Amino acid sequence: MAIEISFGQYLPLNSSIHRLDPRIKLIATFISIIFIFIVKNFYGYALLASFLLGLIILSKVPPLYIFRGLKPLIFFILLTFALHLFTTQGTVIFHFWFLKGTMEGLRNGLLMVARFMLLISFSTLLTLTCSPLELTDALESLLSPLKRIGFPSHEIAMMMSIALRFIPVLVEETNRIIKAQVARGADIESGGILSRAKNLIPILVPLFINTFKRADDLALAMEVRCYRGGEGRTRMKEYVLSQSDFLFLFASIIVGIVSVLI
Amino acid sequence: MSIEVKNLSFSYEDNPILDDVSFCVKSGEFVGIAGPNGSGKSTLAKCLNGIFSPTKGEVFVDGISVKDRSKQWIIRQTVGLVFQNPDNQLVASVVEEDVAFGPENLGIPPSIIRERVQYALERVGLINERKRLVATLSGGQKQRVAIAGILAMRPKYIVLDEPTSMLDPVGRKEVLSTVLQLKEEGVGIVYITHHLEELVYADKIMLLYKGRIFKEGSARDILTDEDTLKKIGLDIPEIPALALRLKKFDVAFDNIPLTIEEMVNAILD
Repeated sequence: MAIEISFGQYLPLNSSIHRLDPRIKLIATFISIIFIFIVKNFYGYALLASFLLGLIILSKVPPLYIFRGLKPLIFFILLTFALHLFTTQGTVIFHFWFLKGTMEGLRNGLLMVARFMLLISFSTLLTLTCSPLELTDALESLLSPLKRIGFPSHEIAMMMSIALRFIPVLVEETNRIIKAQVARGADIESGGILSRAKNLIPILVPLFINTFKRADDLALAMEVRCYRGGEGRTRMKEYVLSQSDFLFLFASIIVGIVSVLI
Repeated sequence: MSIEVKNLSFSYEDNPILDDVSFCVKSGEFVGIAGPNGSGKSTLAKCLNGIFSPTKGEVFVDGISVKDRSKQWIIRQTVGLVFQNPDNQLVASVVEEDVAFGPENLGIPPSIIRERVQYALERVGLINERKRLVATLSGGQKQRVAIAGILAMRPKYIVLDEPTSMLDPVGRKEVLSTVLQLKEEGVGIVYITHHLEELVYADKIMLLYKGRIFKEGSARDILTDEDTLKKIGLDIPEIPALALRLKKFDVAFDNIPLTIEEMVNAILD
C-alpha cells in the first residue's frame, strides 16, 4: 500500500509559452475560463478550441499530456452529456429503453461537453507550463494589493510553497510508517470501510506527531536564516513584463470577446 | 574578531542546561564540541547566535552581545546555524530557490542575490544541481544545500549541530570535506558531533558533559585520551584505538596517530 504521487504536472520545456510571465498566464487563463462560461454556441467554442490548439502547439507540450488531464473526468463528462440528452424537453429523435433523446438535449449535451473539455484543458495547460513555485509567486504578487486591507498574501503564498515543498517528504514518511506498522503486524488493508478507517489511526498519529516536530524544526531554521515575514523581503526571481506578455493577454481577451459575439 | 563565550550559563524552566561554559572561536578556526546525549550541545549551539539568550554570563559575536535584541539580525547573519535533519531546514522546493531564501530575507537586491547563490553553490559543489528539486537529492547533497543556504548570507562563523548524524558514510564525507574547505577560506567553524572521528582535523576540541566543559585540548590530546572518553560515554575513534592497543604490544609511537595516513607513516617509520 505504498502511496505514489507525481510532483505537480509541470513539464519544464523551453517554449515561448513557458517563458511568459506566470502572472499573465494566471490572469489570461482566468479570463479564458470566464469566457468559456459565457459562450452559448458552437462557433464560440470552436474559436476558443482553435486558440487553445495554437497555444498547445506554441508550448511544445505533447497533446497527450492534455488528454491525460481529461482522462479522470471522462465518466463525469459522459454523465453530464447523458443527463442533458435525456432530460431536455423537445423534438424526440430516438428512444432508448424508456428514455427519450431529444434534439435540444443533444445540442445542450454537446455544449456542456465542449465547455468542460475546454475548462480542463486550459487549466491543464497552465499547470503544465508553470512550475508550482511560479504559480505561488504569481498568486502572491497578484494578491499583494489586498495587503493594504490586511489580507495576508505573503503568508498565504509562503504557506503554499512550504506545503508543496513538504508533500514528497510527508509521502515518504507515510510510507515508512506504514512499513514499520506492517512489520509490527498491523493489518491495514482488510476489513470493511469502518475498520479500515480505524486501521489508519496507528499511521496518522505518528505522522501528525512527526509533522509537528518538523514544523518546529523548520520554524527554527527559518528564524536562523533571518526570516521575519514579508516586510522588507526581496525576491531573487524578477518578473519583468515583456511585449509578448501583453500580446498574449490581449489575444486572450480578443478571442474571448469574439467567441461570445459570434 | 571572534565569538567569545564568557561564563555562559543557561537554564530552561529552572533546569540548568549549561553551567559556566567559556571558550572562544576565531575566524578560520575549527572548534569541535563533543558530548553524550543531554550534555547541552544543541543548547550551546543556539546560544551562539542568540536564539537562546544566556541566563548568566555573556556571548559576544565580534564584540556584540547576543543579548542585544536590536542587533539580533546582524548576529544571526554573522553566525550561521546548520541543523541535524536536512529535510527540516530546507524551505523551498528547488535548490537555488532555497539557497536564495536567506539573502531574500535580508532584503538584498535580486542581482546580488543571484551572485551570492552562485557563489554559495560553487562553494559546496552543487552548482550543476541548482535547478533540481530538493526532494530528488541525496541526504549529503541536501545537507550541503543547507550549508549553501547559510553561506549565501555571508556568515563569518558557521555552527553545525550534528550535521552528519542522519547521513550515510558517503554523505558524511561530503559534508565534512565541505566544512574543512570553508575553514581554509577563513570561516570560523563550530562543529558539534558525537562521532569523534570527524574531529581529527579540529584545532581544538571541547568535551561537554552535563552542561560543563569536562576537558578541553588539541585533537591529539582529546582523541587519544581513552579513559576520559570512556568516562563520559563516548567512543574513541578507530585509529587511535588501534594505536593504543598496538602500544600494549610494545609498538612505539612518537605521537598516537589520528588518521589512516598518520598510522601508515608511523608504521613505515
